[in-house]
Amino acid sequence: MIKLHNVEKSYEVGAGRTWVLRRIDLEIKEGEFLTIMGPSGAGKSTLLAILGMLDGAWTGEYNLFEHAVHKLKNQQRVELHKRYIGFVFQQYHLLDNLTVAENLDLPLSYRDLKKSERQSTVADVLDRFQIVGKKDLYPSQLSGGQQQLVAVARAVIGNPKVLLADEPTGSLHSSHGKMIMDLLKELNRQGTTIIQVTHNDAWAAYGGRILNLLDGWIAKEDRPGA
Amino acid sequence: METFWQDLKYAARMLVKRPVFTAIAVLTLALGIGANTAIFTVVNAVLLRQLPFPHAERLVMLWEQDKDRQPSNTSFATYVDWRNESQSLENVAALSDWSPTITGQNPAERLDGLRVSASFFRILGVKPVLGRDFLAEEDHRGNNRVAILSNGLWIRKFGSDPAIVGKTITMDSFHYVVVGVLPAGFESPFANFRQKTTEIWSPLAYNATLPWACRDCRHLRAVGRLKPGVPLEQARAEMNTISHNLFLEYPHEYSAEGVIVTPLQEELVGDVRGALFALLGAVGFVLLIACGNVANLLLGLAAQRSREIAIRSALGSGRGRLVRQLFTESVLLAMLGGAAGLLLALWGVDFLISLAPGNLPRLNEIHLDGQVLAYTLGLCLLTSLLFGMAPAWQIFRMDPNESLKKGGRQTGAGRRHPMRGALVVSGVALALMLLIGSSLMLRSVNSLLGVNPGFDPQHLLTMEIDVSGVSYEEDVPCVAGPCRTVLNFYQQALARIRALPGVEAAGTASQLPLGGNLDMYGMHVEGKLSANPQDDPNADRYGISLGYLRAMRIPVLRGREFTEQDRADSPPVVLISDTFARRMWPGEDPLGHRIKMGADARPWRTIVGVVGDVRHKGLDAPHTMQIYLPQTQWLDSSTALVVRSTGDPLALASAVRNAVWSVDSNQPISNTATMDRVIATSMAQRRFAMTLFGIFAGLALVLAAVGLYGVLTHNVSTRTNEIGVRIALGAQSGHIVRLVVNEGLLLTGIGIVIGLAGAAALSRFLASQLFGVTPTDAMTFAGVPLLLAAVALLACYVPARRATRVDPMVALRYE
Ligand SMILES: Nc1ncnc2c1ncn2[C@@H]1O[C@H](COP(=O)(O)OP(=O)(O)OP(=O)(O)O)[C@@H](O)[C@H]1O
Ligand SMILES: [Mg+2]
Repeated sequence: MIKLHNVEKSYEVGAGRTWVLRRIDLEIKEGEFLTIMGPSGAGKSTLLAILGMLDGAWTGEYNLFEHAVHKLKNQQRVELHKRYIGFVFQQYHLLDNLTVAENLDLPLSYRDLKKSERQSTVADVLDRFQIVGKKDLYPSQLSGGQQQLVAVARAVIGNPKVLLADEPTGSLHSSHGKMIMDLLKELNRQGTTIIQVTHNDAWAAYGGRILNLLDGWIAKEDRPGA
Repeated sequence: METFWQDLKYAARMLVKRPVFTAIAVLTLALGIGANTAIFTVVNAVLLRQLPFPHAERLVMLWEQDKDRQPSNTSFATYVDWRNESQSLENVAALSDWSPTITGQNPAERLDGLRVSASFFRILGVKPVLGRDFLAEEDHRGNNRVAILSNGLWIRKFGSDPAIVGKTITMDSFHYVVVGVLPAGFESPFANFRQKTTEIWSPLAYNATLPWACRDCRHLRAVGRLKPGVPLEQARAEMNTISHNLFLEYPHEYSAEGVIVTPLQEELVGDVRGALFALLGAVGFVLLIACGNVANLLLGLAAQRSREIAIRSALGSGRGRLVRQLFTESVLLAMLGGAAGLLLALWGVDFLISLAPGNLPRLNEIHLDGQVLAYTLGLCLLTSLLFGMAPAWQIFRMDPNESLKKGGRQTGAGRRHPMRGALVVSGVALALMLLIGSSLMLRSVNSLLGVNPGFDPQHLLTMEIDVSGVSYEEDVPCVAGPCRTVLNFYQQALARIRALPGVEAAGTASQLPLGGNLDMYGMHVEGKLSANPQDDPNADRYGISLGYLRAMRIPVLRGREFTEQDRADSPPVVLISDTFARRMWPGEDPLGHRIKMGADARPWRTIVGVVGDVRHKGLDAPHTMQIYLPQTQWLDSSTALVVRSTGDPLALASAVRNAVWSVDSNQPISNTATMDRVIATSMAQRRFAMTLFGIFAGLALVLAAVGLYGVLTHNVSTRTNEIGVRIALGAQSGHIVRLVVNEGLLLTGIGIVIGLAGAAALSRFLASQLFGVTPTDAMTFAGVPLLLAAVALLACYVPARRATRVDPMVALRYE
């Protein structure tokens, strides 16, 4: 499903250049639950951004299903992103001035969907995540865990094949963190491919495979289950 | 005091540390304050400053009121009665326009002069610096060949001759003794359309027996001085009583409408008052927008500085102290803006003067002075209060603990300040009002240009010729004597002009339509003598040569034009204008009827033709009744020459002048101009007001757009994170652009709605500046908002583009 070959990313710093990702070769199968770990600054968020096609400035090959992403223009990448990818951030990033329901509707509003279709999808998701009662509240009226719950709901509302989560529990108390991890696990069970970044070994254990990044290099892979 | 200096030091440091902010704010304020200072300089000099005479507030003009309630000239007989009977007036002087040609010093030159009652200078309170004032006995025929010179004429024409008093000069072939020279600072307040200034004065010397001193020979102006302590209203009431008694006594010659008494100052500036106040309002709006923009800049800054402010207050600085610090910054900014504005105004005033029409009253008195400086200083303080209020208010609302906790960083979508939006909205609304005002004025000038003047102004060359060295009565048939010489001169000159290549037709007239000269007479119509003589209609008189109508292309609608057969000794004839015909003989044929001009002594004249109307007083003035007399039967000493050319009329100018001088090289020629130029001059004040209003509206538009741009840019930068999230959730460039543009257009839209309401309420104050367009012209009210919206869109575009370039990875990196 996802195949990276020799993906590299660097920034020009002053006269020289610093490497953020080096010779990344990676294959991810549909339905996997992959955890990326590594010290701060190792390049985890960068790798996630490349996978999510938010970052276009890299070299190498990236195949997503039958698409050769490295050959696509920016506009086509945006299309792919909308079709396949959902994002969850450490800071939730719910929009303060939109209600829960409006936040959920946001990704749908960027796709060519009819209003009625969007409304019923939002209603389904509110139902599925059991937050119907919260739909008219603003993010500031929710607890951190509830906010991240909404953020995950927002990430999956477009039915992405791949859910990218950058430290989704990083800002949460562990009880809330567990709730979110259980939720990711459940989504994975229902078929969504999940790629998460975490510093927490317990949460890493939710995944099937762990990728360790060190200074932009893939250091080693663990397969806790294998 | 020490804290003040410390506040000032911090304020200066703050401004120096932010050079871009400071530059933008100072420039914005400089534009606003500079424009206000410049316009106030004009308003102050023209409208507010007292005329430079002792107790100038007691000087009044006296006019007869005609049946259209308009002021009109008075006659000698009436002037004498006013002067003798009024108790509230100290004295009254009569004055009559006078354009003598001075000879003896080459070249012969036509001067702008006034014939005045001997009391004239005493009423004004002016004493000659050389020689003496007129004596009472010099105001009598036989003793009246004396003259007083303006300082300028004395320098220009007589080389500041210290022994000028007592010398004799020759004007119109009469010898005048110079009795006085006026001080250098004296400017005649009686300039008019035709005379920009007055250079020479001579006694009026009328007496009751003269034919032109009759009660309905209205060609004099009257100026009086109120007795000390007499209020204007009392004088008005008294003059009306006197007027009513005169009407009872002379019901046939005197109108019952009363007397108009106006302060001289008001009289002088009446025409431009409306325009100047409109302009003052316009620059006031510009300044308000500028203040709004600076307030917005300061609010943006305050947001960045919330951490600094939080620390200061955590260190124990009270809110009062903080607010004082902020106000110190505002005042410092305003002072810098004011200083830069003053520099702009210095240049702006020169620009205004160069742009101003020559007939703007008191033009030469316009300069920056202490009053203007005080005004500017006051303006600076006021503006600093205005724009300093916003950030101060914000401090009072702020919870310092909160900003400390957050480390002074914006979170989430960034807090947007409702006041910033409100400031942008008001800027847009104010700009829209100015734009509507300016486009109404523009449309007025346009519809004025579309007015048919009644003649074809293209390819017409005009100039004025004065006959010198001849004296004769103007309104008697010219059979023989000196006037014959003049008539011959005109006829020969015209013949030579017509023979020039490129000349299609040529003629002369006593005055040009739209040229600014007036010669009106009350008309008696035979068989229709009005029961009330005040119902006698007034008509403009033109004394014309053969060929004039053809040169002007004024159509003959009925009957015939003048011919060689209309001689001095043939039966008196007259042409009347279409309006005259239709008003006096509706549905009838006026040909063959007879009319008479005012005074009983004048002959009855038979109407031989009806010609098209021409606009006389202005393109915006309604049609007046007009009559044309043949030059042979009423010869004027100064005439306007019109030459229709096949090509560029100005190219003919020197050939035409030479043709005139080839007949008699002694005749001064002045005011050479194309007819298009004459018309443009008649519209000059209106154009002046329109141009300035347009400039200020443009400035307002730019400031409003910059304000909108500034707020949107600020919002985009505080919303970077939100925009990044939206992109990460699938928003495309179009979505992001729309996000920003919608916000801009929403602010613009609210501004437009408020601005439209404001314009609808205020535009009637412009009514006096408008012509051919209503103050609520639908096209303007629909079109201008579109223009504004287009500019606003442009102002949104740059921040919108910037928003699309937000890197969605900020959403991931955000910690
Ligand atoms: N614009 C940039 N210019 C130069 N270097 C950059 C830029 N953006 C990121 N980097 C560098 O790229 C490296 C990888 O950053 P990235 O955010 O992917 O790390 P991370 O593994 O997600 O770390 P963390 O665990 O702290 O989130 C860092 O060393 C960072 O300093
Ligand atoms: Mg990271």
